[in-house]
Amino acid sequence: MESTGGKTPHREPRRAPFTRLRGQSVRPSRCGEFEAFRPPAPCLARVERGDRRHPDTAFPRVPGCDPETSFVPWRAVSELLAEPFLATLPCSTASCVPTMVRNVLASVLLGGALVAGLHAQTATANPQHPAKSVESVRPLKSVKEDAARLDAVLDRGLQRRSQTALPLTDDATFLRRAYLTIVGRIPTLAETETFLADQNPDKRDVLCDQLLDSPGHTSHFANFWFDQLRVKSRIQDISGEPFADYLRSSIQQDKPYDQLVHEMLVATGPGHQQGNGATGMLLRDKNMPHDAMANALRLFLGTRLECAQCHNHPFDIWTQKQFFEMAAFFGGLRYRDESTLPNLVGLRTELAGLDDRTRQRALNLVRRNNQGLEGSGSGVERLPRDYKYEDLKPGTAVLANTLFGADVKLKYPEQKKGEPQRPRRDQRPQPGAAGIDSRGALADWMTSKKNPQFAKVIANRMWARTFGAGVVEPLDDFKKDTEPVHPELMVQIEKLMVDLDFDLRQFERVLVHTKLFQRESPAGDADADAVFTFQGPMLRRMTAEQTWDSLLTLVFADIDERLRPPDARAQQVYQQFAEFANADAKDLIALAQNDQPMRAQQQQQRQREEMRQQVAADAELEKKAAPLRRQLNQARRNGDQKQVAAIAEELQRLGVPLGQRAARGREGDLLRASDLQQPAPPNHLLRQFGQSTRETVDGASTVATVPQVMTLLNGFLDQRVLEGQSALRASLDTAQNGERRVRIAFLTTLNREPTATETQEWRRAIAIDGDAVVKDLVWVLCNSNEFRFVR
Amino acid sequence: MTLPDLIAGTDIQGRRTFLTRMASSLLGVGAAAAFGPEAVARALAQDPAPPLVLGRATAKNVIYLFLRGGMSHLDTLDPKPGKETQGPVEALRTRADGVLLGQYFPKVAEQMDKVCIVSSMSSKQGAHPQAQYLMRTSYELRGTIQHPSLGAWCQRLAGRNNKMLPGHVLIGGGAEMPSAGFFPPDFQALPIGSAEDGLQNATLPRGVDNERFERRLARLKQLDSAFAEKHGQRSVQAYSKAYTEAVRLMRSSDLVAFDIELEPKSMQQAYGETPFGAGCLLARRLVEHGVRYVEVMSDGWDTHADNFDRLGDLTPAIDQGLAALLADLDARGLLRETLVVLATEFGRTPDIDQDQGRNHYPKAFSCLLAGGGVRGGQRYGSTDAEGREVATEPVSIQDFNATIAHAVGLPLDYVITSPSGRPFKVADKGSPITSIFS
Repeated sequence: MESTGGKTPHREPRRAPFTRLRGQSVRPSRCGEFEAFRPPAPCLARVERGDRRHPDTAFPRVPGCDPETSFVPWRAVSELLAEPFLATLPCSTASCVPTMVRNVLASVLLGGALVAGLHAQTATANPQHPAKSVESVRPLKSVKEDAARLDAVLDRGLQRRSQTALPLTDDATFLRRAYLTIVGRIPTLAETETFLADQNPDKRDVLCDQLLDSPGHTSHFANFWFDQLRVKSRIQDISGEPFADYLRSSIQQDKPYDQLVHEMLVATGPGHQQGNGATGMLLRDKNMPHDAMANALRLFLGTRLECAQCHNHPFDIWTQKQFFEMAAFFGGLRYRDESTLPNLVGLRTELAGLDDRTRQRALNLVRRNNQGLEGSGSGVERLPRDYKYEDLKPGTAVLANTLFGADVKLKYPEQKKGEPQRPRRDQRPQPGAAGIDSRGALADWMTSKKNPQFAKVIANRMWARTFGAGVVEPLDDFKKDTEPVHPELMVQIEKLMVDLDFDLRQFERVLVHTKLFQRESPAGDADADAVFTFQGPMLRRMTAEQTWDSLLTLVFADIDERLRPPDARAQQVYQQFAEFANADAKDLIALAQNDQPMRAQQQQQRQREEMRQQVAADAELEKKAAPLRRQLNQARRNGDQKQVAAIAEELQRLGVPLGQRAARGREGDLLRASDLQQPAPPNHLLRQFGQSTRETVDGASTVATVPQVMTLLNGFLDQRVLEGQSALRASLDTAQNGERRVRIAFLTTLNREPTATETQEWRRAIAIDGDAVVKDLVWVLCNSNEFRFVR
Repeated sequence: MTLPDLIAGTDIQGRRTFLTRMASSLLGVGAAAAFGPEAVARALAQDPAPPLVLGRATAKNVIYLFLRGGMSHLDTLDPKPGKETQGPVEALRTRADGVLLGQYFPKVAEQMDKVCIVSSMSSKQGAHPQAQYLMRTSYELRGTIQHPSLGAWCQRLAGRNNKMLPGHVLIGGGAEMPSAGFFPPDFQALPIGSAEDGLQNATLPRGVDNERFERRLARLKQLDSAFAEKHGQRSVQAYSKAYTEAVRLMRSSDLVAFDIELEPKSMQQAYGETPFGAGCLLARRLVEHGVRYVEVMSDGWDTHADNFDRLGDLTPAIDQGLAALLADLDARGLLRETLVVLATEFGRTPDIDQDQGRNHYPKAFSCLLAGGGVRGGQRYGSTDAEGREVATEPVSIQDFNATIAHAVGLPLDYVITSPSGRPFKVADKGSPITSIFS
């Protein structure tokens, strides 16, 4: 027994039983480990391995504290873990915590520690897990206060219109809504049963915070940004994966929204370089800086200026000149990054001696890899040649000027009085010269808390995302005379966004802790303004991504564990760029020569074609192959992988060559939407259900179409969920009886218990027709409107 | 012009926007208060847009074959024999006197009596995305709006021929190109990835027979009606409609239109057992069953290098497919009312570069029209001796699209406004080439 000082009565060591954790004794790693957590006190004795020493010094001791009475007779992990917490208890001679309380405290803390430990394990295992917990950033108490304030505003609004708020909804509806809204998928069977059985009166609050802290939140939020920013995995020569990586990482790290926008507006450098993903926003509109400006204004300031690109805006107050004054902030923007060119000194001479093809390929490599952004903004732009208004001549250079809010003063170089500086044709920034940095000025102006639109627009978008309709609609078309139906609410959420310093996850947290988020959703289409007074969250169809992710939840109970690192898809791009960036002229030529020529592919194709013709010529073989081929096509059409594989094998045995399509997967990877190619390929379920093509800002749709219905009727469900290995099938197969099966089906798909009638009907049917009816039940549930609509 | 007339000239979305804006500016109230979206929709529900086909229409259907990448026109549709710009390609005589084709299209040469070549196409777009977009929508590519394609316009203005089947089908790719654009998603083309595979998910899965399917549907209806009692939103009802339509499509006898395996082997071989050939065959079947607009895509025409070798690889499929299609349509009496279009986004340079390739050349190129009232066996417009400039009758891309719209009988000056309030027409400012119609 050791002590670092303080006067403690020495006690005879007393034998005490150890509680062993998995047969091992536990001990602090070094003496006095817990010193840091409490005021100076005798240090703790080290517990020797296997030594059943009296651990009386393992507890915080204060003068006069009697170790006999305050000693907890068993030692367990909990005690060691409890130590720091116990140490924070106000200790005075008279208030030693009695034994029983310590026991209870220790058990609670053990439970908490184990859960935290598991959670931490999951957290470290899952690469899209948010970096901080929401509670650690802001206590729930403050969140509830903000939420209550919003509820009060809503109540006042309803009163003014003599409307009543809808009552709070039942647990099952709330559970499903919370999962879909916060993490973008329905809950699993286990998650559903746990929540419904939980008796804690605060369970809804606890659930919301848990979901906000889960990796599912990162994935769901990523889809939001991918949609708004029109993220595509490939835009001609440019890979969009670095941009997607940047967005996923930013979400995971809770990057404040104003910082995110600022970074995207000022980013420069090579687009494919690791760490430079922010260039993706402006590279999306490569060579079209005017469209980039129009899209930025629409997205971040809710102002539709595209019309003013060609003429004075017909419906709003903006003029064409004003558009070009905004466009001037992107003046001189170049879409080529030439920072790696110095490595390639002497390339031209090296290339001169080579054949045309290699030369072309080498130049293509250079062109592909020096995509990027250059230029901090000249602040000048020329009016177009067909400018037809009287105020200025076509082709005049205009200086950057903001549309509203604060003015921006840029420092232009010396010029003759009254003459705006002409942008030079070849505007390379002079080394060492201070740039005009109009992009930086634009970013500062746009993301300022004082900008009248910036906070308003994002607060409105977040509100729409959570409750199904914005406080102001449309979300991106605030005109001069736009009057919100509920102005007080608009003011409140704008203020909240600013007060939270643009932390979007905390903002969402406030919204999901309101009473409004718990209310029933309205029964029918709302009349006119009733929508905007928010009696309850709106009924809406799941987005394409929510649909896909929810269907995947039926296949994998651990779908969120399958989320990949944010940069998984971008790694190859980063690697290729790094190779290129480190290459000198000779290396580059070597890289160019290794490129796979297309002719080899064409040759393969031709060979296959020849073989097919040979087979066709052989009449006997053809007679056998024809019906098989027909069946193969049928199976492929229905996405029946097993059948396709079986027939393909058969054909191969006959010696019939198969095309490349023979065994190609239909849905591709079974990953959550945010981890897939952006957007998904054209025949993918995601696209059928309305995922945006990512060509325009509002490209997603939730409208019913025949192809998506047919997929549900005949495709995905039967192939992936009902046959083969799916989590749902596994839980159905292990159920004891028909009634349990019915319950499992309802709880997994609709996340509620079946009604008595429903149970009765389906049980009867199962008793008569057996297992097939169980599959029918799941089919019916997944095809129902209750499945696809979020209440 | 009265208010109803003014409103009548726009589509539902446009009208709604128009009225809400009017309300907000005239009455100074929140638009939603007086003319909320629901109120407007109710008012307009009595006036759906009628089919607007003009009496002079000559084509009921369109089969649009698109060669992506820019097919070299001097080697195919507009040969210049004896000139240096022709390269090693020979010219063929065709069934039409005075019209020559490049050596790559011998089968089409046999069908030349049905074909009109438009040799004086000219545009300013030399980059693939911009040029393809312009060809498809008649408008310039913008990052801020998606325009509807010609097929979507056809559907919108002329409606469907066969209510059971979709009105616009896209075969062989191109689903990333604009289809419905800013039109409602109903006007989206139905994509068929490959003609050999046909329509996805249209038949019952393995192990599910008709009886079982009926039982499933009955139970689904029960569950859905319980839900509909609590939630009667239009978006919910729209799903019931979509299910009805999907099941009807599954059960319709017209579903066989999508299965080319039902054609005799000889027919499949006549079209060529290539993706393009199968696409043409599928297009013919669909048109037979009343699908108004069918597109077939072909890729790989961007021959910057080895132009002549590549053309040798690519053209047989087109040659065979197009020729078979024309002959087949004619034999079935469908050619008169089916306009067949072969188009590409631009041509290729007269000068051959050192890679034996040709570069992009939008200044002068050729496209092809056949059937649908177009007089065959002729060449409209011409380029100069070497094929560098358009010599007579220049035709812009908008003019070309206007010609197609003219054949189908669409009103060229009918304005539809996008949800953002911008006015658009089916072929922008294009004027049709009326002289090629007989």
